[in-house]
Amino acid sequence: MQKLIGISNVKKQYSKSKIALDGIDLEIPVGKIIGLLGPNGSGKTTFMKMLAGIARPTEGKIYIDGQEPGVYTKSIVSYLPDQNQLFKWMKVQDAVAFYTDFFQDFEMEKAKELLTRFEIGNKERVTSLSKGTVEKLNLILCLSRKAKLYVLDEPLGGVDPVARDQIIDMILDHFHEDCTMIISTHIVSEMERLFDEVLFLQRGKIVLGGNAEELRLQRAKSIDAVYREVFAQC
Amino acid sequence: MLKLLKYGVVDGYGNLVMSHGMIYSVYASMVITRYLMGFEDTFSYIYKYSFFMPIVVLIIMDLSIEGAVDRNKQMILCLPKKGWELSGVVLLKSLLKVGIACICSSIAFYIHLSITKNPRRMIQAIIENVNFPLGALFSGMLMIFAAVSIVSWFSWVLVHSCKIKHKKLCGFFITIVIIIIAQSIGGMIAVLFPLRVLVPNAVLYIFPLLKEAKYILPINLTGIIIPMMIYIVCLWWSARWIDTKIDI
Repeated sequence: MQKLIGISNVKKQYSKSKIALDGIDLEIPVGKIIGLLGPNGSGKTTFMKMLAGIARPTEGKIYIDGQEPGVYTKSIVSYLPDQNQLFKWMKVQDAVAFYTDFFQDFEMEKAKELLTRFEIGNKERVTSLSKGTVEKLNLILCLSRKAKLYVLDEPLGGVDPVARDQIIDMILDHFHEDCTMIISTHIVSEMERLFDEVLFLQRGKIVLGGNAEELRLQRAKSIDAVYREVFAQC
Repeated sequence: MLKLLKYGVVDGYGNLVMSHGMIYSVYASMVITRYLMGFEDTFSYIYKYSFFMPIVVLIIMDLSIEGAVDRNKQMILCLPKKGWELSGVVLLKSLLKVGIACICSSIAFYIHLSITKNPRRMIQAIIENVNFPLGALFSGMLMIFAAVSIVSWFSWVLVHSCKIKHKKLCGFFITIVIIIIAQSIGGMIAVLFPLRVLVPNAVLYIFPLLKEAKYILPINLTGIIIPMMIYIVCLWWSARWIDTKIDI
C-alpha cells in the first residue's frame, strides 16, 4: 500500500520539562482513517500541528507525500484545528471566499451544497453562530478541499449528540480512497466506527497502535473499552 | 483592577487599545513632530529624556504580539505560502499600525503646538494641512469621541469580566460610540480616509503577493480608529504638560 506519511524519530520539546512528542516512528498509508487517541496533554494536537506545517519538530523528520512540511504539503493537507480559527469579522461567505482564494483544491460548489444542507446562511457572521454550527462550518470548509490528507483535531469537541451524528456522517460521505484522514478525539465510542487504524498516544509516545478491527478481536472489546483500559493503567 | 486590565489586554479589543495605543504613540509622535518642525535639538532631546527607548521597546513588544501564533495567525500559517510572505504580512500590518499612530499623533501635536504658541499659525496650519471646517470638526469631535471611547472600553472590559451580565450597559455605550462615530465621520474622512483606505488598498492591489493582507487588515478596522482617537487626546494633554515643563 502506498505510503503517504513517514515519521522518523520525531521529538517535540517546548521546554526542558515539557516534551510533547518523544521519539515517534510511524508510517501511514493512503486510503485509511486513523484514530489518534489519548488524554489531554498527550501530544495529539502537537502531532497534528506538525502535519499541518504550523509546528516543527525539535528532532526527527516528517515526510508527507515524499516532502517535508512546507508550501507543497500545506497545499495537500486540510487541517481542522481544535478551536475555531476563522476571523471574528468574517461572515460565512467571507470564510468561503478565503478558502477559495488560497486553496486551489477548494471546491466551492461542494461547500455551498453542504452549507445549504446544514442550513448555514451565507450572510451569517461567524461570531453569531452556535458552537456546533461553527464546528460544522469549519468542517465543511476543511472537507470541501480535495486534499490528500485531512487532519481533524477534535471534530466533535463541544457539540451536541445530534450535531455529532451529522459531523460523523459528513466525514464518512467525504472520505475517498485516494486520501487519508487522521482524526483525534476524546469521544471514542461515537467515532470508533470510522477508524481503520488507531494510535494511542500517552505522554508523547505511541503506547498502542494497529488495525482497529484486529484490536477489537484480540481484546474482545470495543476501541472505547480498550481506550479506557489503556489509559486507566497510565 | 489589574485582572480587569489584563483581561482587556488579552481580549482582542483591549489588546489593540492598550498595547498599540497610548504609550508609544505619545513618545513617538513627540520625537517625530519635533523633528518635522525643524527643532535642531531633536536628537539631544531624545537622548536627554530617553524618549527613544520606549519607542523601540514598545515597537518590539508590538511586533512580538503580532508574531505570536494565536488562532487567527494559525489560519494564516496553514496557507500554502512561503514563510517570508506570511511573516511579511504580519510585519506589514504592525508597521502600518505604528506608522498610522505616529502620523496621526504628530498631526495632533503639530496643531496643538500651533494653538499654544501662535493662533495665527494654528489657523494657517489647519488651512494648509487639513480643510479648515473639517479640521475644526475633526478636532472637536476627537475630544468627545476619545472620552466616550475610553468609557466604553472600560465598560466593555467590565462587561466581559462580569460574563456579560450588563449587556444593556454595554449596548448603551456602544450606541453612544456609534452616534459619535457618525458625527465625527466628516472630520475623520479628511484625515483617515487617505490613510486607512488608500494605503491598505494600494498595498493590496499593487502587491498581489500580499493577498493575505486583505484578511489581516480588517481586524484593525474597528480597533485602530478608537485607539487613534485616544492617542490624540493623550497627546494633547501630555503636550500641554510638557509645555509647562519645557520651554519650546
